[in-house]
Amino acid sequence: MMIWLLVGACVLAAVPAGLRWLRVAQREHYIPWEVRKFADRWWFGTGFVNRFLITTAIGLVFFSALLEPWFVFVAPVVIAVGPVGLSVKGVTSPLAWTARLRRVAFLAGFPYLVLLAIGGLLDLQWLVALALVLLPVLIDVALWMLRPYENRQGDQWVEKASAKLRAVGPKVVAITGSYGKTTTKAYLAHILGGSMRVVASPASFNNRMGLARAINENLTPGTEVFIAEMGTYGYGEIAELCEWMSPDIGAMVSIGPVHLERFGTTRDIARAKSEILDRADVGVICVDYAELREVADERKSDMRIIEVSAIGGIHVDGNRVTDAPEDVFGVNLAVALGICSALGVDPGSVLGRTRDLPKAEHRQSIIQSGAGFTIIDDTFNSNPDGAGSALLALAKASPEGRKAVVTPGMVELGKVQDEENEEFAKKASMLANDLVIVGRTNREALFRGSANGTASVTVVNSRAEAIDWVKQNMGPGDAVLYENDLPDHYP
Amino acid sequence: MTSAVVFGGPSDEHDISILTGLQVAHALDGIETIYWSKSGDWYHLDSDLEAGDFVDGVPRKAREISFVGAPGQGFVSRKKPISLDAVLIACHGGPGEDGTLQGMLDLAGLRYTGPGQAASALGMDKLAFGSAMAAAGLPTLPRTLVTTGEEAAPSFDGPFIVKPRFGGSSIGIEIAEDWVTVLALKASSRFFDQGAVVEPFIAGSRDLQVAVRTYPEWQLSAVEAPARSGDGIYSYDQKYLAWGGEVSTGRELPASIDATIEKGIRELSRRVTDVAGLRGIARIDFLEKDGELFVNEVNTIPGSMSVYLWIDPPISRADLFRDMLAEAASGPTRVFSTAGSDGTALRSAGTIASKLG
Repeated sequence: MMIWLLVGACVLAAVPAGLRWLRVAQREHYIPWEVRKFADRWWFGTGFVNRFLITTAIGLVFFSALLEPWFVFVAPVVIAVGPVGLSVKGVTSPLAWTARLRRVAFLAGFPYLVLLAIGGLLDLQWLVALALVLLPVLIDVALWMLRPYENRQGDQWVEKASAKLRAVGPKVVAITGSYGKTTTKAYLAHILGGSMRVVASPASFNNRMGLARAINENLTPGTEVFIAEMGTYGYGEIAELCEWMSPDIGAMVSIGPVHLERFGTTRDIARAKSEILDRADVGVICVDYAELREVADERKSDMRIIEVSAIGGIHVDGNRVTDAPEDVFGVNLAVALGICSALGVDPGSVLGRTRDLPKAEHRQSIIQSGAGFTIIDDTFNSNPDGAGSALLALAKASPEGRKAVVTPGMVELGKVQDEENEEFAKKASMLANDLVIVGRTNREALFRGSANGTASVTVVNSRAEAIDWVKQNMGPGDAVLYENDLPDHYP
Repeated sequence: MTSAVVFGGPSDEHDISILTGLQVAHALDGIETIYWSKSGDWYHLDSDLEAGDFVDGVPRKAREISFVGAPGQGFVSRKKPISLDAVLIACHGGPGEDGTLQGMLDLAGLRYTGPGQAASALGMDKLAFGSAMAAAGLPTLPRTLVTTGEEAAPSFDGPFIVKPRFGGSSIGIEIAEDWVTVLALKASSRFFDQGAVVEPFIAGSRDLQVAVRTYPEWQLSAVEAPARSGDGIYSYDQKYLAWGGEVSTGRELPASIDATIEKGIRELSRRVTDVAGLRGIARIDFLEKDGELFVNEVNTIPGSMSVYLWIDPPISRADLFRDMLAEAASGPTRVFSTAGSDGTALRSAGTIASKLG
């Protein structure tokens, strides 16, 4: 009897818990084994309460034979409510109940129920409770098993997109880089937009399915240039994109330690991204990055490479084209003008259009608050380079007034994540008067870094709390920098 | 009556068309919503969508449908034609307004709002429209065509207004001081690759716009004087982007005009309606200087159907849209005829071989 009560409790507990981890899976692009990582981060990396809860639950599972049987019921309760801080539905990024997610839920739910049934039939309390604790892993297994199927599902859309691309026949420009892709794309679309019919892939559509969708839905007949932003999570991904998109021009904007946890070093990243050149006629490369300089030198012998630089003015192919205009990201403009040159448009002839380049949203966007202080919104930035330059913008915005930096730190930097966050916090706390650390993801590293500076440090749990702090503490003439923002499935 | 609103389409004004289309979908209960994507595909949507659902492309949950240009077919969902008494076309610019879509609906035997295929094409071609007005004796400014970029200067002097030959809205319009600049603009802007029309820029003139509708009877809206930007052009940005809709652009409505001008606009609008074959709701743009009126251009499917101009007497959006649909359902815009092709010619022709021999 007792065992079936436990099974029932575990079925009920799996509803909120399952939804929680499914949301993480969705936010992490359905990449297998990411859910387990996040579960680990949440249970063990967010302080005493969650660590105590999960340790207790696991302990009870393993020592269930020695204890009063009803002790085990603590496990479903813990799993149903925890980890504390990770909400079921999500605020910044709510769960979207798509067909794909339903498939994952089914494929993870079925073995879960089978395990519960076996546990029930054989009267194994520990098995029932263990199945519940391992729910994130079951979701990972489901993701792993579904992967080939999902890839095949996408094939028909990719085929349609590929056919459409051939039928419309635009010049295809592919842009990659650790950061600055979206801004470069926006600059290029604006510069070319005056004289050519241009379609650019929307901001976040930078993988296989996203690009296929962008083409299927947005590629207007008569388009002369299609600009595709290509992100990469691993080797071969860009090569696969180029296989069906055959870019005429491949551009490499920047290299930095973004997604380093999936690669080894920034040189490996540069190598993975240089796949963008394999099928292109012309490569446009920003040689201000040492890793990209190497790529350019390597490729020069077998294809046309247009080198661009933003050091001491905008240079294309060794010629100084212009000064970098105010409030414009020089590297991105240099690459955009390099692509113009590759398309046969003289960069000198389009300088008029560089005077009103679109402002990138949430990338060092400057806003005046109602209360009279300046807000620098750099919440879409998540790389060390950009974070450093945002600090300079903060210094400029309020040379005299009080300066605050609000940040949860940067993620996906692999082994150097702690180091980079520590370094940023160090610089921030030397320049600013206040450092507000949001959330738990990088709390320790940021705290360590801040010890080197003079800023007073405030620790808050959520973005909402940080905004309250800013409203209470900032006044006319002051400035606050919001550096990066993490969706709420991060601790 | 079952009806549908069609919006979007591969046009520069695709996004604005979504706004107009959603206005219609929200105003009329039970209307089917058909979206035409930028890439030219057709989708059946729920009518409760908002503009934000289109930001990244085709909204989620859109069901792809097809179009078959044969009688009794039209929009086909899962192999079954969607039965429709009338289609409200809410497309701006491009093939949704220039007669392409209209011709396609004609082939499927579907009835639709606005002018037929030929009048739609005329309304979209600034050169042809201006010529038709001039031929009918209506006052217009002289217009000349630039296609090769090597044309000699026209008989009238600068400064000039250079406009894309095809296309509505104000996208791509430029002012040029002299003829050299006109030719340079022709060469550099993609908006002129289908040709540009050039007319004299009349300093100190003002725009006056009015809407007409042809059902239940011919009616004229209030006259509006839109604000111009610093360089004298009523721009696309000003019209749509700055305020997020056609409703709150800086403008004078109703425009302060004297009785003579008002009478002139009424008479000219009536003539334009007939000469240009307008139907449904159209907007006619005039230029006025020192009491003299010129017919400038016509917009056969104006942004948000110019609902904001119908203030005296006030007519609600829903009523305006319903009347358009009723007009559309009342009869086809185009009737095909096969009279005379009764086989006589074929019978007397004998074999093709003997003809050719």
